[in-house]
Amino acid sequence: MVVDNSGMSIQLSNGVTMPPIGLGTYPVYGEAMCKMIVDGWDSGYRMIDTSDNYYNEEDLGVALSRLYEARNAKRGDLFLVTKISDELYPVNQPGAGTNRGIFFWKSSPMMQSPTAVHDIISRKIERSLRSLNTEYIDLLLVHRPYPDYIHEIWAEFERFYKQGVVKAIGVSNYHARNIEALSSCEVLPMVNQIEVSPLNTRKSLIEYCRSQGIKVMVFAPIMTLRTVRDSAYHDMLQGLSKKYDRTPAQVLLRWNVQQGLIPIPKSTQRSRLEENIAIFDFSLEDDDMSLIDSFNENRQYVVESKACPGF
Amino acid sequence: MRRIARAFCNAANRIVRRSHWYRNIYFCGADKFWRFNTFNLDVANTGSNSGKYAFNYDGLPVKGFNMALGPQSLEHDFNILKNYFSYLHEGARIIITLCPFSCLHSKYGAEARRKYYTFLHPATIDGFDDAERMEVLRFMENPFKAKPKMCIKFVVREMIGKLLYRRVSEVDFSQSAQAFIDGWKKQFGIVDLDAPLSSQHVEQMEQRAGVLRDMIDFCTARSFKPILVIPPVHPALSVFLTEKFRDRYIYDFLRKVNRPDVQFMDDMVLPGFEQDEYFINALFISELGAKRYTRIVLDRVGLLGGIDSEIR
Repeated sequence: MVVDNSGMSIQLSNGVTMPPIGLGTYPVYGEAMCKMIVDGWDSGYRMIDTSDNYYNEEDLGVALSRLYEARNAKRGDLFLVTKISDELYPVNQPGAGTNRGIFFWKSSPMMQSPTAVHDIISRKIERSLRSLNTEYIDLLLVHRPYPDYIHEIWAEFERFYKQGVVKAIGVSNYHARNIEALSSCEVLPMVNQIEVSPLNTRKSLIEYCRSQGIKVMVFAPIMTLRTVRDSAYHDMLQGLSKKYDRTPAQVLLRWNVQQGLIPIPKSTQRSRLEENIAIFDFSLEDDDMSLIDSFNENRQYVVESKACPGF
Repeated sequence: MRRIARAFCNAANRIVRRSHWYRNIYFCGADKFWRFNTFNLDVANTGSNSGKYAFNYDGLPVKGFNMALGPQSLEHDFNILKNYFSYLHEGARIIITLCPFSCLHSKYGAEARRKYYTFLHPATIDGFDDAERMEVLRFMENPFKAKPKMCIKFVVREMIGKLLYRRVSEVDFSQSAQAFIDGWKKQFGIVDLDAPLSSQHVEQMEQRAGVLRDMIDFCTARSFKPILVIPPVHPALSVFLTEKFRDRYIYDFLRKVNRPDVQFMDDMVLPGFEQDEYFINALFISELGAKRYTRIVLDRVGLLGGIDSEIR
């Protein structure tokens, strides 16, 4: 089944359009990536989200080459999103997956050169372009509001945007005060990718972004299905699932898009990929939207201050 | 055979992890951060040992977290806050606990740093070293495998100690006070506590005032309400900390911080809080004292709605 969501594109503040739903790729590697990308294409996904610190851009590049060949798809048919980040500890070390504090922290030996931010971002973008086998990136995000270099990083993003290497620029995990810190910049962020879930509805930040013309992308939009143990939460989702004859994941994703959010769910299973994108032919009633909202407890899955202290 | 060895190792790890030595000596109480996951906190306090012992939120109708760890500098109080502020709700109170010599530089060895590897982001650990981090985390995850001899030595010593010394000896508060005073004089190179600060100490105070100012501004920028607090000390110690001392080492420090709008509670001498039972030594408050003092402070900042008005 292919879901055609081409008529529902989201327009960014610079006129660039992006699909209303995307495909998350963390942590997917190798053959699983290739299969997911082809299955995703077949299901209707046209936006793919990755990051330099998912360490899968090369795998995604290989997967895209296979997709172009197997489905006669073209680069221009896809909207590629990647991010610029700090390094993470590798899987074979204690604390795997946590930030290393190497890039964009004043305390790091890597950042002692006056041109460090410029050099690192240039290198990272070059590597992303090479790995993804593309001449441009549709949307480049700053992964976190690294407090030591918030302006310097953004200045580099503006430079690459003006060069046309990236078609749109944005931020991720930024709060309103972090975005306000960029208010005097020439180009304002077009997207803010954040965690949003019924347990962390982020209403005021979403409202702030909306007021600034910033589109909100949502990472891990259905993660609560497996991380939350509260039976009342699952009962609520099951109830709505029955009422609308949809799966709990579809209810959650619909709750996202109905707020104007752009979710990027991840799945390596074909059936779930199809399920996750089949959300544009039904609506949740206002009362049900409010019911889902009522589970908010400002609970973060990734604790922001631990991932980016002092942001 | 391998299964038996693994079972033995797991059992040994469990015993080590439960020991006072592993939790409170080796990791200085940092284990409270390892599984911490309570959001929407109403209040949290920072600090070194003074703060660690002064606050206890158990049984109170607020969500509180004691972020204080000792020994540590004001800089690391701030680093912990930077790492954990996401757990606080907007408008939450942040109690910044000061102690008599918060205005001066304290030097701590590498062993004081190891606790931070277990719960802080690398960029917020002064003197961060990747090899040291790896060693500490390996020990944290699998203590018996990482340092078997050390574990046996200290855990066995602790068990024997528990068997032999069941009775808690009475504290001589005068002796304890004198020990603190002598220790501080030696640590900071001070001869007369009432004398003006040396130029080196004035410089340190300026630098520390900058840290505290940044900490206060950090809180207000994030819509938290900072409160500066000096917890009570035992009367045997407070007699050494004269008006002159306090003016030079505390009030002058706060004048340099220059944030007059921030509430400051100097409770070093707190009427109604003189009893020995409220202290474990001349400087640190006992669990009983902490429960009472926490109520006093929270009531003053309006978090308890007058529960403890009788002792204000």
